[in-house]
Amino acid sequence: MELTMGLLCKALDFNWPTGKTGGLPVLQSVDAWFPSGAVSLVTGQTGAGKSTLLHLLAGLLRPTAGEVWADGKPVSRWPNRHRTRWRRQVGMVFQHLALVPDLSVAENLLLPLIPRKMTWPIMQTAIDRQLASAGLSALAGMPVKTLSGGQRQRLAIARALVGRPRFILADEPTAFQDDDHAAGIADQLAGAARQGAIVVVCSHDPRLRNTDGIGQRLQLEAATLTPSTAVQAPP
Amino acid sequence: MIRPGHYYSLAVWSAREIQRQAGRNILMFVSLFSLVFLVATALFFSQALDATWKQLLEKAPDIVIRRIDGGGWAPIPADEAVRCATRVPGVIDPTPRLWGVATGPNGPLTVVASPAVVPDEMMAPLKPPSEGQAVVGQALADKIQDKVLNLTAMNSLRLEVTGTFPAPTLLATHDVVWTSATDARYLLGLLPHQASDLAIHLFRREEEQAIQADLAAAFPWPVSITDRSTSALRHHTLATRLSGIAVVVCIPALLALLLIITGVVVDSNNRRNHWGLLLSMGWTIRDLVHLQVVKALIIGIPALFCGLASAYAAVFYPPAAGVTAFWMTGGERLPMVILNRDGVVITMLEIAAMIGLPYLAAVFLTCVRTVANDPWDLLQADSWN
Repeated sequence: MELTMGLLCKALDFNWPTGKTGGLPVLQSVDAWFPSGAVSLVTGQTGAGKSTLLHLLAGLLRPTAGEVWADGKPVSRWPNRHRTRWRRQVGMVFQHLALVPDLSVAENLLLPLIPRKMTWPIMQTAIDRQLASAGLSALAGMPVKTLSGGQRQRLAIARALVGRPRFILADEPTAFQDDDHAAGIADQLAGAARQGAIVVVCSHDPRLRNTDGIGQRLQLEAATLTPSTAVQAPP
Repeated sequence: MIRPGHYYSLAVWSAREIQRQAGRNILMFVSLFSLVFLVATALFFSQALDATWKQLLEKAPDIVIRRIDGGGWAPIPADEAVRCATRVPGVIDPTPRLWGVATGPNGPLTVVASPAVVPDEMMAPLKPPSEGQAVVGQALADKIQDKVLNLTAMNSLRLEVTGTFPAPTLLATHDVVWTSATDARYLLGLLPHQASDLAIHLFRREEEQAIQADLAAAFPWPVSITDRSTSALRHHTLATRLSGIAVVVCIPALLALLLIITGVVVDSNNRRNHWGLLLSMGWTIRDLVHLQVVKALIIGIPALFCGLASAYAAVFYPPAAGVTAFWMTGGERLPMVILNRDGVVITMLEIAAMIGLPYLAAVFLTCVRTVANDPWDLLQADSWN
């Protein structure tokens, strides 16, 4: 069997068990390949299932049917204990950010590094580098609850990138950003992709849709994922 | 395989997690400390009293024979009593003893010419009293002024106090006055060939009941025979009472333990989304269990040792020991007690089994049960806003 690098969805189905979506499938027979070295942008209306797709790719949810393969490994089939270890290769930016408000900025960046068995100096170097890249160095010791919405979002992205993960999954990463910072985030994600990461971004932000660094554009609509090449003009 | 550096990172982060919820964790420390202190005090006291009695009884004779007549207790002819006892098979080392009750400045006292019940190593620092001198128990020493002791029995005697029995012997010596044999005979009105009673050791200690009929028949006069079991009766009575107190102490202690475990479970349920976040970032179930157990140990081990140390001080170091003795015995005057190594180990094992294991089990099982859920469910357990 040929080893496919990147993230691969094979006939992916997902339904909420409690009938949250009124019995309609969230995802149905989704086949997609998210290659390494490029940013894949998934667009779609609110409620189309973009976040659910990212959670399935991150191994946080299990598909109802079909499989998710990561670098040739069927991660969606793995038992929980194997997937938790595999998740060390995943950097996730949640739509709700999921920062720990009473911890400092630097400590939030430390959280994904602790299970990666790094030494303290290496962790410190990684945190300093990521803070500088996100423009948050001056706020390293500040509690997260004192940051603005935009700063929190940049911190969430920094936390996803700090461990140099193989798979970067970002949910609406520019929602609270001005144009300059949105462009900066797009550059960060494109830079990670250039270094070999598989980057999947779900967003309906037109500024991202029109960014040059996007390698693949996909549209999630009616529970199916289709290629989209249209570049929209800014509103 | 987990490297030592990883444990170090987890330990540092555990300490940070404790600091994040300082108030709650201080409360947990104080609860565990109090629980260990209360239970360990009762257990230490019970163990120590047992060890002290065992040490003192080790030196006591197996059987004591006293001559009685129509007027009650009577002096025993020493040489004849030894000859009679030696004729009974199984009797070894019959020893005539000189002792009796005299009236001191604050009431009755026990006058002895040889404090045989006190272990030799404890007697080593004491110089045996010469004529006109006396060595007294701790309780008596506190009440004597100018080191002069006036005693009255069959005769009156004025003695100079030259020493005090060591504190660990207080259980047996608190009301004892040790004098020379000459002074004891004079005070108690005994002739040179007479003794107060005859102390006997047996070749087989378990025969102390069976041999009593042979001993009674071997003497030409009526005798009263007291065996070691009778001597130990008071010890057993007190030990039983203390065991009862320990049980009474343990009932609220177990309720307190239940509350602590409930606190652990509630804390775990309140942090479900935080654990979901950690799982989504690559923390494994093993990492999270390690984190929780290390946190529990950082709080629990100092609480355990502080509780044990405080209990030890409360039982063995005055003035706290006096307060503890008052509490444990309801006001009875108590001796300074000793504790052997076995007693310490037994108490620590009991504390570990009664408090340490349930606490760690609650932390471990609650954590495993919670983090075994799907990370997505945990992430959604509470609001992030």
